[in-house]
Amino acid sequence: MTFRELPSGGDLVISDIPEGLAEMLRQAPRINENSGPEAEARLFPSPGSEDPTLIDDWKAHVQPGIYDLFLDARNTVLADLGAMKETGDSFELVIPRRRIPAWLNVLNQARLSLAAIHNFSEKDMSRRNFRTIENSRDLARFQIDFFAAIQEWMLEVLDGEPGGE
Amino acid sequence: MMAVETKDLPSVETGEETELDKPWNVVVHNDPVNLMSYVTHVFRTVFGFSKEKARRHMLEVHHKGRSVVWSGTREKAEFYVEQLHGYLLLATLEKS
Repeated sequence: MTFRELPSGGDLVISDIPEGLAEMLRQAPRINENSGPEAEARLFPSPGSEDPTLIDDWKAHVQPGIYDLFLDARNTVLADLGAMKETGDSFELVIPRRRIPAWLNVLNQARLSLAAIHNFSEKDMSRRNFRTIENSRDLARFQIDFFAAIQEWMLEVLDGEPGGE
Repeated sequence: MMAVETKDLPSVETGEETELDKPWNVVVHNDPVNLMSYVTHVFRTVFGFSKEKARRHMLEVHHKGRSVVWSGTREKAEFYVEQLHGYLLLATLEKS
C-alpha cells in the first residue's frame, strides 16, 4: 500500500490497496451496527456522576447528538469508500483533507467496537507481530492495528509531523 | 397608610467555601484502544492546549489512569465531557 498527500489541497490518497484490505476498509463504517451492548456502552459512556438526574439528562439530551455525530461521520466515510477505484488488481482511495476528522472518528468507532465486542484486555492490545489469523479474535485484532496505522498517518498529516508515541 | 410589620431574618452560618463554590473537574480515563497520538490531538483540538501540555496530560492518563484536564463551572464541564465523548474518549465530570 502507498500513502501520499497530494500537493494541491492536501487530499490524501491510499494506493495499491489489496482486495482483502479494501474489504476491511469497506466494513469499518458498519462494524458498530448491531454490535451489541458492550460496544454500545463503550461508544456512549456515562458522564460519571452519581447524580441520577444528570445521567438521565445525558441519555435524553446529549447522547442523541453524539449518535448523530457518529452517524454523519459514517455516512461521510461511506461516500468516500463508494468512490474507491479499482486499479488493476488493487484499489485506490482518495480522502479529501476536510474529511479527515470524520475518518479518524469512524476508524475509532470501529476499533473501540471491535475491542469491546471481543473483550480485549490491555494485554491483548499490547500483543504485536502475530503472524497468523486463526480465528475471529485474531482477525479483529488485525483490523484494530490496520485501522490504527491509517489513523497514525492521518494524525501525522494533520499535526504536520510524526504523531506516533 | 398601611402599617408594615418587620421581622428580623434568621441568621445563617456560612463557611468560607460552600458546595456551590467548588469547581467541577473534567477527567479523562485511560483505555487500551485509543492511540496516544490521537488523545494528544483531541486535547489540542478541544482545549487548545499546546503540544507539550496536551502530551503531558496524555502521559498522565496513560501512566496514572486518569488526568484532570479542565476545572470550572458545571455547565462548561458538561460541554467539554460531551465534546470528548464525541471524540470517543472516556471522560467524566466530578466535583473537586
